[in-house]
Amino acid sequence: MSGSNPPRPPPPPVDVLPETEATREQRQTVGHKTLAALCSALRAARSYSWEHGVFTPLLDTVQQGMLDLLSSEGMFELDLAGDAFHVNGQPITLEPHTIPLAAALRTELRQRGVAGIRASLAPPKTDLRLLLRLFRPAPPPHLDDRGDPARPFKVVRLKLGPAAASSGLQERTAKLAEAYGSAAAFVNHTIQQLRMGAPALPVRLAGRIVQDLVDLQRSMPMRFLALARVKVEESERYWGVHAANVAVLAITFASRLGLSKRRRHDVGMAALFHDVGMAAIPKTVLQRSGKLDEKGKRAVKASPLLSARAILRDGEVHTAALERAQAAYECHLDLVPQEGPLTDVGLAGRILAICESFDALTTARPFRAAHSVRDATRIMTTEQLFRFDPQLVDLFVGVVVRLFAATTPAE
Amino acid sequence: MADADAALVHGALAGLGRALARAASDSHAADRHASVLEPALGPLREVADKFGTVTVTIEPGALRFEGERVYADEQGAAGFCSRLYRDGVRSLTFRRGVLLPELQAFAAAIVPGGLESEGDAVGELWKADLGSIQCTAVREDLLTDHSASASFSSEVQQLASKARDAVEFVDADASLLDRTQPPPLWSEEQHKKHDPQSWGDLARRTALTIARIVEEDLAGWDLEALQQTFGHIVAEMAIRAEVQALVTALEGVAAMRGAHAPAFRAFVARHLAEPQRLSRAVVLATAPVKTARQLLEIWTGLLPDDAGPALLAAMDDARDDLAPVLAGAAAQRRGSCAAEFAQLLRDAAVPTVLAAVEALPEDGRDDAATSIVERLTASASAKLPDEDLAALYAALGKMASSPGRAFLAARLAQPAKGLFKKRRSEHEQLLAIEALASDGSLSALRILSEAAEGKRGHGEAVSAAARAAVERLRGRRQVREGKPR
Repeated sequence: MSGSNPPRPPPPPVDVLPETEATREQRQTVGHKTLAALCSALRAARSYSWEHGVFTPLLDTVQQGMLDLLSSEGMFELDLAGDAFHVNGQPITLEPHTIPLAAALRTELRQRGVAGIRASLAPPKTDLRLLLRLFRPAPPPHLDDRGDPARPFKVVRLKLGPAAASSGLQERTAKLAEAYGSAAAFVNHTIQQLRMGAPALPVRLAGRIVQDLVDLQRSMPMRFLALARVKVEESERYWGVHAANVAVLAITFASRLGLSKRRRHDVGMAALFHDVGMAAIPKTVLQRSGKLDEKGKRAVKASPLLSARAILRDGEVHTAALERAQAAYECHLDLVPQEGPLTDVGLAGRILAICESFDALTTARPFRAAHSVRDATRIMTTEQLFRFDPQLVDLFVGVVVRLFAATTPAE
Repeated sequence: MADADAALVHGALAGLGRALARAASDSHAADRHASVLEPALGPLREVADKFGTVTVTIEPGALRFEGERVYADEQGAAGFCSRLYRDGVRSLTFRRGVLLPELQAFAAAIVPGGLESEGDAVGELWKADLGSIQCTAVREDLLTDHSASASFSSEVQQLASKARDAVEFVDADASLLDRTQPPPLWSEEQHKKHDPQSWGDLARRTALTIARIVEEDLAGWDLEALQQTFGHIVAEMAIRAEVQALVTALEGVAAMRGAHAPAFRAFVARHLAEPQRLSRAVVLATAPVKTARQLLEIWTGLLPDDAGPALLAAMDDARDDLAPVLAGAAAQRRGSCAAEFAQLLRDAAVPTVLAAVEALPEDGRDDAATSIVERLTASASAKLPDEDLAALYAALGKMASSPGRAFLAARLAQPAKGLFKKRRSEHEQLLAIEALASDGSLSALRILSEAAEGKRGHGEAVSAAARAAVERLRGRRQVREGKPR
């Protein structure tokens, strides 16, 4: 697949209208006001029911803007062209506070394959409510120019375009791939830097990478989950790809469990750092294809504590840092000989234990071939079950693995 | 904007700035932020309702609205405006419908140093996921700061290409799922049950993990850094009154084995001996939890040998029932506070003295007995209640020290004279007999035997008590030596 973006579609044709300064100004003012209100309403549509009263003032503004333009120009057309919004053919200059909202609207429209919204008559409020309905987290599966065929608009029309959908998809796929690549490369470089005696973990950069991963998971969960299919031959890069895959699986799992954005971020961060302790283990041990000698076994068994050490030496004691350290240790408790009762394990550690085991089992290692998804699942639910929270394993297998299997390339 | 409107917005934003500055000045009091922020909420809601959105620009040390400075942070570079600016936040937009919990979450996100915050305002605001408060931030290119960025970028591109290949295979049916958000698998109750997110519990487990790293000899060159982290955790636990977690963490240190355990314990001991921390431990020991008293015992047990003065100083503010614990710990470190410890034995409440005496090592008994003798011979001793007097005599007996025996012998031999003193004198003679019996040494036996002979002119009760004590002591000695009684 080519990584280059397709050429951007040309701006929509401009109808012949009296192009006075006043017209342009009015279009900009009304267009911006309408667009801003629409953005706000559509953003809130993720959180509130489309019938909620919270939308009333916003929809009043949208309706008023559409009426203003209809009365002066006889039409209302909002088009998405490239990265810009055009109202009645004129690109709208966005104010700083509207830019992020407009970007979100652009993404939402592209995800639904909508290239524009138009009306040639005064739209009733019900149409605007139905427009909101399309932007719920679970939108209707099919759209036509009158919106949801089950509840069509009376006046408003959608401009549907595969180009809008596909260009958005290309853009998002590129972003997804870049975020994943950054995560995996980040871990590899961090391990390398630790080997060379780096003073501290680059936590802030990791935080930004995981923010991107969490956002992308929400906007395209299936493609996001498919990232966990990436495998590399070179053992040198294994730890980075493994950590990124664990992050993908863990963020997906956390999202399905309904954890908050903060907690999904915590889990993603813990996943990225869960094997940094490998930096303290000689490469000869990590790349060995046969059985490990006693010294090698001891080193591998020490790795969870070494990961915790690498995280804890930074001296941070806030919740997220402690969670990272504990998850790195607790997700591998099977490696650490326990003398007393088994330590109680936090949720991040329990999630990581499952996700990291699934990724490790489905990856070829110098000392064994990769297991199939089915075999990996069987091993996790039988001989390795003692390692996991049984309830969580069931949910993981029943939900995440099932979705993961749905991303399998068609034969 | 009309002058009146502008004044309204300026007033609201200035009030918000002041409230945020107050919240930021006390990062540990997130629960108190509500009362600080509430007065600023009304005006902010009013302007947001009136104008739809209000966007304020962030500058180092100030907030600006439509080009005009509406709030200047008195703390300058240390204030929240500068912090937001440093972290990359350039503007904040408040929308209609801001509620207090949202404003609290916003304050928590921008307050540096809170335990729920990682210290990066942009990241924290992103995590807070606020609906009515949004920020714009400069997109830092942190990747370019990443060392070896050229090779890093190249690796990113190679891995991104593999990722594109993996994603490309997601077929149309599967991609439809991209547009749906199925309901979460867990309910609110299940979240609370499975993910309680208690910092105390997390910190307790982390403290034990650090102890494990050190014990397994895996700390390497990070030993000092791990000690510091452990110290931070313990300090934070104390601030947050996580008594149970503290007890577990300190027990872990006390039980730690391995080559580096003594060095680690020595660090923790120094940390715990800081007067402010010790005072905090004394306060925590009064917490209404089962393990509160245990905390003070384990805390003081870990202190270094020179912590005697700090322990005795901590007694000034300690509740009466905790003073004995501190006195006992000071007794074990009396080498570092000989004069103050002697003073304690002369002046402190009797239960405290008894605890100190109980904890004394053998080589400290003579000095301690001297102090107690001084107390008993001082004129103020006449006012001691009978039970205190009895306890002090018993303590002297238990210590089996030469100065103690000499005093007891003297008291037994020379009863106080005078009509009114006779009764008390006989009482003290009986106490001395009991104490000497408790001493149990040959010297004590000799003193008791002489008193029992009746040649000293003691009253009948004293002689009888002495005889009984001699009998008891001889019996005990015979048993010890294996002779039939």
